[in-house]
Amino acid sequence: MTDAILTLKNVAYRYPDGTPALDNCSLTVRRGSRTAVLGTNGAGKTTLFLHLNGILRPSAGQVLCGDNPLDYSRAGMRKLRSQVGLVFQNPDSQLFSASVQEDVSFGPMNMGLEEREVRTRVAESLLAVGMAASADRPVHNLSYGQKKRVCIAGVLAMKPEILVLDEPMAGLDAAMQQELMSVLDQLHAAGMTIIIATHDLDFAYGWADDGIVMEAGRLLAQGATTEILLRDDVQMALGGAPLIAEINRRLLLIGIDLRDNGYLPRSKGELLQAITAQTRQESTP
Amino acid sequence: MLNALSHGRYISGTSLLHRCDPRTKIILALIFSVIVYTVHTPQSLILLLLCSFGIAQRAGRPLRHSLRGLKPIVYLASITAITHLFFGGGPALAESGILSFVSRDGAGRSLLMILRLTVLINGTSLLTVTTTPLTMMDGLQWLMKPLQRFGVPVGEIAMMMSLALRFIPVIVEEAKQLLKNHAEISRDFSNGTMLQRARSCLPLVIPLFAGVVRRGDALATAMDARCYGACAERTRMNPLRFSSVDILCGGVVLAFLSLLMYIDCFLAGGA
Ligand SMILES: Nc1ncnc2c1ncn2[C@@H]1O[C@H](COP(=O)(O)OP(=O)(O)OP(=O)(O)O)[C@@H](O)[C@H]1O
Ligand SMILES: [Mg+2]
Repeated sequence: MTDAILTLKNVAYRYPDGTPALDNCSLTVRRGSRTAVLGTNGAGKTTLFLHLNGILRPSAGQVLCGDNPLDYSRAGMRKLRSQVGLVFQNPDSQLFSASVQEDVSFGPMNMGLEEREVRTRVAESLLAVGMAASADRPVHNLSYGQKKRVCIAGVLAMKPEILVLDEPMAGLDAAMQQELMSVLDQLHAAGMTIIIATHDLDFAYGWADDGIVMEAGRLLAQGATTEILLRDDVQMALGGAPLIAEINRRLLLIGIDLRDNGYLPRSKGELLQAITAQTRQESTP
Repeated sequence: MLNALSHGRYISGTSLLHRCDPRTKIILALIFSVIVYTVHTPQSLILLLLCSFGIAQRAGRPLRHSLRGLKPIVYLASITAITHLFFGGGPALAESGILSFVSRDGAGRSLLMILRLTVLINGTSLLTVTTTPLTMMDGLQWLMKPLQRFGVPVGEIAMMMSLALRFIPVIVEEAKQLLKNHAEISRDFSNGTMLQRARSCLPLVIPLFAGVVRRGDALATAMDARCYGACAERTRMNPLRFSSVDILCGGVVLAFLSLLMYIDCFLAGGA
């Protein structure tokens, strides 16, 4: 595949205490895709992410960015870290500064950009996540969701090609999730590759193009979410299925099939449409 | 007790002191501290205290606020003062009765000491009340610059201090939570002898410490992920600039302090 932006080849990783977290893991992420990484607690999602920007180095195997193996020298890391922006799970352990603005400027300042450029980027990224009005507020007073957004802004300010988010939706209310999703959609439309670790199967099914399913440090499945999330072994490993798949399974028992040419609806809107279409079919004959 | 930690936090405003360069304020605070410890008479200290209350009020900090901040300090100072009181030596305060155990010199000295501490804390908190943590770091970093020549990692020290400032409220919050979860600890925490209190702190301190270590680890990773240490030179924002405000503030404060020193010598000599 020529359009692979990140590739893992037979990567293995053991934490210093001996825990094997990745085991012969091979996968690819397509350039410009929306990729969801799924797996139960401890499957190795976070460990995988730490490999993508070189914070962890594989014990065996190789990580490639584009066609080139990662360069673990200081200069290589400088480039990679701004290219692959990583947003961690817990906002409280990644906001370093007293004020929002100051925190977002942390990355660009470390990159040694000019002061004017830093200011522009800070303003742009705060605007992108809808936090421009809170630029001068102290970080420790923000709500959890606001902190998450500031974390994302802090990474966006480095202008990464790839945005990697570890469970960004966890702890957000429904409205905030919706808003974050639209922020991510905008970034995706602007050409960014977005990788998200999540436990939310419905979100993965509805939002992501590609899915990567991990089980005990290995790749279990990779491909279009609309396919792999319907597989039995995947559903077994994840301990569930997208709600839409469950609904269709039950409806099939009473002879209703929501699929249209084998295509199952992905979003709430599509589901409602399919139901309307079905009920119309029922009533016409 | 935990609230004492958030005492002296920045209050936004536009007073003269707010607009002063942090370097000017840091140097003035240093001179102020030295003077607080060199003046001899309680009169001068009281004058200094009144002035610092006045300035605090002008800077947007209500008197009530200043007084509340001083409570734990006075309490702490009193404990130390008691030792001075009984073991001060010299003539006693009275011929007989309880007061005959109290030394007159000791009483005077302990009063002076409480006064000194109060003036010192209240005066220097003007610095933190009118300066944002960030500009404070910039100021300190600038003032420590000469040390760079001797291999002192000034930039890293400044980063360390600003991280500490950022996480103090978080740790206070965590401690409060822990206290709430262990009502019985919190009861012991404010009762009993010093030793009992110290012992009842343990179940609080250990998880708190573990939390700090865990957080530090995650923090280091997150800093790496955002290119910390990737470039030799970090961008510097908001270059500090001295202005007429600094000359005005510096001049007025220095003139006042000199005058005070003069009066103090005069008073001490006359007595
Ligand atoms: N710092 C560490 N030291 C030792 N072992 C670790 C460390 N971090 C993670 N592990 C272990 O590595 C394995 C993979 O963990 P990882 O955090 O990558 O899982 P995850 O898929 O992100 O899980 P979650 O959904 O809970 O976030 C787990 O068995 C975990 O216990
Ligand atoms: Mg994780």
